[in-house]
Amino acid sequence: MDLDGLLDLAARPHVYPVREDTLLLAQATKVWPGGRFVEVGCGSGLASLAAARAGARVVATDRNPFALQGVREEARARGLALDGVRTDLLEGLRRFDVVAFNPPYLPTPPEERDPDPWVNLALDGGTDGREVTRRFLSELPAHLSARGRAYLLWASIPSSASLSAPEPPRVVPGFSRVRVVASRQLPGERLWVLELTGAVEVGESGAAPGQNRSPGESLDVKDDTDRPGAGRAVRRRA
Amino acid sequence: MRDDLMEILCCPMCKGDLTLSVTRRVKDEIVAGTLTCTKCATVYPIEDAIPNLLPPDERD
Repeated sequence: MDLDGLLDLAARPHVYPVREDTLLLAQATKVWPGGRFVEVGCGSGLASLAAARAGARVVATDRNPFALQGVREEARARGLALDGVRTDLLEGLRRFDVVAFNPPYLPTPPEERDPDPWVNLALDGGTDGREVTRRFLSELPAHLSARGRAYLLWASIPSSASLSAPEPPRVVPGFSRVRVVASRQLPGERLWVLELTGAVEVGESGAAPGQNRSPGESLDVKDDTDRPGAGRAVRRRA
Repeated sequence: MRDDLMEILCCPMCKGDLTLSVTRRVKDEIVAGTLTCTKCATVYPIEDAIPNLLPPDERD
């Protein structure tokens, strides 16, 4: 999406600011006029604002009330229409044509959580950094329209456990196609945007798709860099 | 929130349909009100135009 004129978003207390990962996801995401779009965990709301300007029917979700208030104010100041919904990921939402998510992905043991709970929410990916991503992927198929697509930020995760090159998954259970549509190398961290299409649901049993299959469990990619901790410097608030 | 958001929302607990009750509207935006689940009767507040679909014990 075109981000011209949207990069002067005000920094807000308790809200994850626009960073390289924010930019890469918003640039790579494609929407169309009238298409239903949701930005999950919107934070600053950059992708939501860009999608609203492109004419999409936009919903921004976050658990963080400061983030939602900020997106609303930014939209109003720019004459853009969108709706904020305070919820966990996609809970309480039906189907969308396009879903975008920049998840918290820092491996975070409980004792390393950010003292600001709202900031921590934007960073804390659980002990392996992928907990929120796994939960999102297991819920995602049930929230996409027939030809819906999702854009997911995937980051190499710093770890001292291995020196192998981190790569995003080529296969994600629940989707027939996974494609890297953008990538960027930063000092000590590499970012990708995955486009997921061809969602397949388990059935109408009432259980959330993926509950029986645990799709996230198969995402056993080796996510390591040779510069442990460097990525955190990018992701952490200054 | 705008009225057509109702097409996109459902109860996060039981996936039931929600009923909208408006207490304050400014132009085309619902600024305050409630969403009530037609199946499980859980009530979700709308404050500052933002529906809060978090479970009742996680709303603050």
